[in-house]
Amino acid sequence: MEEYDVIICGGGIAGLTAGIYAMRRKMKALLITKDIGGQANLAEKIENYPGFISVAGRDLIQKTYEQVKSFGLEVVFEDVQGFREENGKYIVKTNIAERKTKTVIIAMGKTPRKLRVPGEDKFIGKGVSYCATCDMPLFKDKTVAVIGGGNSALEAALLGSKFAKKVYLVHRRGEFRGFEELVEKVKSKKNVEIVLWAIPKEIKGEEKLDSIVLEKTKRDEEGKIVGTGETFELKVDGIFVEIGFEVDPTPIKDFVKLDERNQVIITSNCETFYPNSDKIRPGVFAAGDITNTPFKQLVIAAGEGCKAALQAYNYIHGTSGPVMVH
Amino acid sequence: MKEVILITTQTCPFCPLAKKFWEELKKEIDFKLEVIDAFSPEGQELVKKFDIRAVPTTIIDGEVKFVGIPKKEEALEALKE
Repeated sequence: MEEYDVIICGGGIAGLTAGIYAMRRKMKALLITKDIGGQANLAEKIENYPGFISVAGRDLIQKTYEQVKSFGLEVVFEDVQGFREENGKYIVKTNIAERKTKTVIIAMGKTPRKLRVPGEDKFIGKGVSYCATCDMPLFKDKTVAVIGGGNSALEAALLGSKFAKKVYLVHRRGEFRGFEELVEKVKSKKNVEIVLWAIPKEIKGEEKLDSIVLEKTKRDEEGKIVGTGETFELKVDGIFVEIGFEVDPTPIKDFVKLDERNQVIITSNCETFYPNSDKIRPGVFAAGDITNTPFKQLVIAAGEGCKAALQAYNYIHGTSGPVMVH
Repeated sequence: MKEVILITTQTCPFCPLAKKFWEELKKEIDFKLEVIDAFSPEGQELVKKFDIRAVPTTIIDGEVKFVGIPKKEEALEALKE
């Protein structure tokens, strides 16, 4: 089996940056990913990434990907399903193949959080969407529901107001968590109806998505949001789920130590630990939104990708301390 | 020869990659590829006809085969059918 110096898992900004640094260090590197860009693709405007006053997420990613490819990084589009150690080396298992490597960089990021209600899976791609930027324009003159209370949900509702006949913005609390400016903009849209104190219970439809069943919510004595048992139904053609992102622990939970939110626990040098242990797992690094680093920002993810690649180089060459890179 | 139509929108961040995917595959196996914007007149007809609610959507020989970017093996399989 061919052996790599480093296999980078994940094609978001962390993985791509790791790829740049690995290639500049002349490492034999492979990047395995389901897509290029991850969450950054969904940002309409990025205004806090150095070097750009304002840039669309997909443009930034496209430029970064071109940069990575210019260094000759090998990229395969596969789904990472697990890892194992074998004689001091690591095997990365995907839906297609198993590959051997001296080091691993885990940078698979986060995926959109699902509602986990009956009917959701049945209508994914047929009315249920996790990407308003992608699919909202297809709901011209239709009725949609946007679920969530943060900036993403508010932006999705605003986008929906441009295309859809009617937008329901459904939030489980009585107030939004997003920026006040966005909330005001949403409130000013005549075709947006705000539905507070409600959570999705079921998505209904035969061939086509037909409606969403919501349950009214309230705060209990401890201040928690709970369902009241009272339900009502909204006729909709599409549902946009904007309730945040989460780590899929399946491929990593038996390989590295995770925190209570399934994030990979790392040292300040992007090193990981054995599961349920304080012992560092040698040669395995993690970077980006999948880690427990606070502040989920593109620039932080890129920085961690850089650190992880340089640490992987250090590990292979037996050096320690900071690495000088030119 | 198989006829592949990829429906995209200008706002979809995954669509350029989907286009690249089918173009790369075309180098390996011969098929007719057409990329159509959902908001062109032709695209609007297809959106209505197939009730398309997500992009990128791939239609092969008049049948919706994939929503999203398929795995290479799945795409090859669909082209061989």
